[in-house]
Amino acid sequence: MKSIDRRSMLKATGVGLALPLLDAMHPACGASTVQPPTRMIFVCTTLGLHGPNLWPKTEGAEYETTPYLKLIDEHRGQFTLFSGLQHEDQTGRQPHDSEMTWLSAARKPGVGGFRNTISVDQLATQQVGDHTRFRSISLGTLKPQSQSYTNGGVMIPSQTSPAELFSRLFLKGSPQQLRAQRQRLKEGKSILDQLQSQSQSLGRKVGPEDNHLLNDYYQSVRDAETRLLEAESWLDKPKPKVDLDPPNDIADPADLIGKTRLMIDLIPLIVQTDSTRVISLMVQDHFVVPKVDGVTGNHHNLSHHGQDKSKIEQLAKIESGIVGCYGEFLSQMRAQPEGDSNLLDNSMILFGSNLGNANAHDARNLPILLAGGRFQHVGYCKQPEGTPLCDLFLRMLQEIEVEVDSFGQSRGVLSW
Amino acid sequence: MILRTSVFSLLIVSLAACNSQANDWREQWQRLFSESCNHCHDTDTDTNLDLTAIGFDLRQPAEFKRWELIYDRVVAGEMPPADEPPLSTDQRLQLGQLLGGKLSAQNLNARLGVGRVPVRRLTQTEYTYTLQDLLHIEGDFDSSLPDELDSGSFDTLATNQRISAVHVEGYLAAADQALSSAIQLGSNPHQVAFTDYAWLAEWHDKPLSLGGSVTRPLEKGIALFAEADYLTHFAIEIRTPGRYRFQALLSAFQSPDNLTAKVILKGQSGSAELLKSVELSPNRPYLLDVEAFAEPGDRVYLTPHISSIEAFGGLTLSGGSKNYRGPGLAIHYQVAEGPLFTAWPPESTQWLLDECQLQSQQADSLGPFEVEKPSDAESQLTKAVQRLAPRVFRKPVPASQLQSLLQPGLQALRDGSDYVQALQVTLRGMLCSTEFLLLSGSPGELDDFALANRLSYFLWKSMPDDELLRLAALGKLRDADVLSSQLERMLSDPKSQRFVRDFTGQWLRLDKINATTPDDNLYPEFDELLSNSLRTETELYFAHLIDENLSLDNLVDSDFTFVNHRLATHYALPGVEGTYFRKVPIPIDSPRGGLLTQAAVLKTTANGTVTSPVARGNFVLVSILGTPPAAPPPAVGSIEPDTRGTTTIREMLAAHRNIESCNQCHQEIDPPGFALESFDPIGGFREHYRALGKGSGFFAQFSSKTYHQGPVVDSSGITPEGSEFSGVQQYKQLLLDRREQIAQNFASQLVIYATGGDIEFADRQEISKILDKTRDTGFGIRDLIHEVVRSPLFTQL
Repeated sequence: MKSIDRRSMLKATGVGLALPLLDAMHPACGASTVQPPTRMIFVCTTLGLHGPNLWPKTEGAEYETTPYLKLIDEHRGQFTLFSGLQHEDQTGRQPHDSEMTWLSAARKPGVGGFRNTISVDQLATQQVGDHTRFRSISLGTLKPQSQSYTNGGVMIPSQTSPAELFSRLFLKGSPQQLRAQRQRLKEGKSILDQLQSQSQSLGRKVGPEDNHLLNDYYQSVRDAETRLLEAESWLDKPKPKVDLDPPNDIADPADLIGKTRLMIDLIPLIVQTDSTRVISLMVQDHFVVPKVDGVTGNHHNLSHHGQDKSKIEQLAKIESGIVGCYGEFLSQMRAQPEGDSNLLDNSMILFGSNLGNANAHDARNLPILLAGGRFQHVGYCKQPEGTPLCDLFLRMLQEIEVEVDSFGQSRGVLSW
Repeated sequence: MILRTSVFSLLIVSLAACNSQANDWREQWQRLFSESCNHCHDTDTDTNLDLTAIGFDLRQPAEFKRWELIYDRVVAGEMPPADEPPLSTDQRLQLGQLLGGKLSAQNLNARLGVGRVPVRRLTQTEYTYTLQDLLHIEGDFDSSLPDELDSGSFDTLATNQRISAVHVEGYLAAADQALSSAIQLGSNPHQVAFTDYAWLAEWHDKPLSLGGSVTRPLEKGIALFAEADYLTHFAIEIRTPGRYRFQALLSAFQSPDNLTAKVILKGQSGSAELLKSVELSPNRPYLLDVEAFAEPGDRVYLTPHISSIEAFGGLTLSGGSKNYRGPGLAIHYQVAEGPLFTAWPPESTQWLLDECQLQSQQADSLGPFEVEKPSDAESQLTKAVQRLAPRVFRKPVPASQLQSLLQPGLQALRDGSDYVQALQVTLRGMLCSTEFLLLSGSPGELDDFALANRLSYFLWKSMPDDELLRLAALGKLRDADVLSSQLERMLSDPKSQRFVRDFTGQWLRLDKINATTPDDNLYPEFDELLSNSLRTETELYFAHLIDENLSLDNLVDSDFTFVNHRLATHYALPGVEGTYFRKVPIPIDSPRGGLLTQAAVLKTTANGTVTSPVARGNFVLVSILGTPPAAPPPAVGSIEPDTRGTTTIREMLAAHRNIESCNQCHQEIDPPGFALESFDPIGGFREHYRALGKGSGFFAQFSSKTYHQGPVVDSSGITPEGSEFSGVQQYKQLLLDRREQIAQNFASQLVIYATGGDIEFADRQEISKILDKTRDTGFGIRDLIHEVVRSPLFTQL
């Protein structure tokens, strides 16, 4: 399944794009020396994972399995589960504010004067974003919230419709639509030109100290223009073709697991077609009782189980569904060959949560599972309590060849 | 950090004294540190403050903040603590004067040539309202804009706002969407659709398990016996966004008591919005008439408000709807029409295309319309932009700027676009420009137009109307009487509702009220009607305080509130029938009264399942008193809720408070939280906690309840000043003793919200003046708004 139309790819490379060569094309090009690119994928389930069902009692590759790990045991050796990792100072204004800072590690989210900082995925796009149709892709299961934040701390809205995402990635569009798109881009450029020229006349009236917002504005207009030019250059390049019918969106918010699976299923396709190299997915509370057998409470309330046994049992059913999606996702990535290995080996996939204990809104000792990416995986790895999660982010950034020696709250590069 | 009024009077003295002893403030403070502070605040400190490493350069914002905090805590007498050598009142005064003068001077110095308020942009809310008012359209256009970030204050606060490329792309897309919605040249999409119940024939007898058997045909119309969203929708298919009208003749069927009917709008994404609820009396038909904005894909339906357990139980027992004797909603007919436009092409189109000749393609002049090709498109475009620009930018636009604005449109004409496309591009550019998106002014007094804008974004969350702009053009708006009468006019305009909703939404965090859903098993009584009533109460209440210029004390306690039948039941207030809201007196023995005991606030400050005195106490300190506690030290965790019914959160907190470093803040945080423990997560009054399950004991086995009685609630406490209270009513009286503090916070919040500039140290004096002018009327809320607007904090940049 999901093979790529070779001709369209050749055409794309023909116009001078530094596209990495995909496995399907090897016979045609014979370029087996080309290394497949490295990707970075983040999946967050924002209400945490019930600790006792996740953490094993024994460390190492031969860890004694647990209810949640059982769901991904077939990938033993392909992942490392960490404990002890955290961002410091995550007590926010609202108890779930650590959602905003999972990938950025900014302190005191939402508290007076808070400003978010760049998220690890967006920092990576500075290195790898130029090579692909989309600099990065942020996905959400419920609303356009994401954990991807720009340099200035602005959230990048997430895509919540698998159908729309599919169409943007793979559908060509009618000549009419293309013409309209081209017209829009052209108009956009001429508007941004005009806004730029205005800045020159305004520049004299407003002193530089006047404030950050004006500077932000003109920088943003320039950035938007660059992005518009990029979009225009991609417009002429055919989109990759995939052997898959466009997905149908699930409207029912109660189908939490279905929605998660539909979204996560698109990721191997995005990776395989090299549409982007940086992806984040946020699995959120859907504010309704999820359609999961044996579950009668809503997800958030169950996360505040208050040690009530029946609530914990129900919570485990929901969380098992989510962990299960992650397991299936790993299987798909492993099954797809690329270069001399497979998609999983070429992707660093971090799955976890911004809450270590959702019952207490505690953002310490976060559940963090890292899979793929040619790491030496060791099963269950206990890190000293309070180890910065940023140390792991830094390691990932270095793997994807971003030249930084610190990120967020990092104290060093995590090794294990 | 607790700030009392004494700080204010002190400051005024200190300003006068600031120069004489400027040089030795460092010395004097350092002496204090080494004598009384460094035992705790040294390099090994558990707190966030190390005084041995403190810097003295107040130009550094971080240093400034640290010194401001030290000032507040020392002047208020909270530091040094009791077990350190005490400071005499004179010493305190002197230290305060020295430092206060320095802080003020630094503040004012930093603003020289810049002003107090930095340039700010329209918030998402303001952006949407402005597009609606400017273009005469409805609907949300902000879906492509990133959400406002929660940065701990109002979204209007300039220093917290951001603009990114994501915003610029969003603005481009939103303007496009709004203009497309405003320019309608097709046929008038108005339609009328009656619902024909014939299609329900097969559903009347279908088995219950297949979703049937909940309706019965009547001589005229049908009866619906259970809540269902797929049987009684209005037949209109909504293809054009706009206002639609939904009418139906309803009655309570087989119902001995009043029956509530609901009109619900179901969105394509599965969202459901209660448009209206009405209470039907038996045997009295009711003509329902609702208007609502709807978008393509939306469906509107009617349903009774009936417990589904009872309805389905009854229907099963009687073998379906045919012989069912229980209550239901009779719908005799239902009809929908829309979209409702007062003219066609709509006003929005006529306004934008005023320079154009529109030709209807049909004799009936209902469209579609063709725009006649102008003989000189460039000059027509110029004329249109000349006319529209001052409205879009909310101020006069110089000719030189018009030329620049026209460029994208002229380019489009040269590239072969038609006139309407060229106009659209031009407007799109204008809607993405700084003049439209940003609010600014020059340092010093605001000019008339900047003042008109600040006023109208404060109270209407949108652009100034013709009258404000006219007065600004005449240069009259800064006249105190004119300003005051305009303010009165604006407050009585329905658009001021937007202020009430947005301000209470952010100030009291009510915009987060639905962030959690109560546990069905613990709080089965929390239904849609109740959920929809909560914010309405607080908004009507706050609007009433403004309308009647009632005292600020009403924020804390009152002898009235606004309820409908559902909320009155929730509050145990007797004698309120019907789904409409009205003002009712609160009985003397009721714990209600004031904002803190309103269910909206109580729900927002709980998490759905349990309440936390810490969360609620923090709310009182932050939102009401304006004295936010310091953040917990980085290593501190949170309390783990336990709802099994064995320990109360109070017992858990007691352990916490035995640790001195925790107790420093928790002695402030916990008491208001304890007082509010009398209210559950949905704002119901309680004497016992609820615990999940049937519980134990002989009678439990017969119970159909999903919860049982847990431990007794203890809502007593003791304030840090040592005053004891037995519950929320006594606590409210203690809180009223801090009226000045509350007024100071409220006025500050209004100023921050209205201007987008934070209240800094040097502004405290102006806040004091606002309080001085309103103290006589007991800080009347309307007076406070007037004085805020008169204050230089408002009238100057």
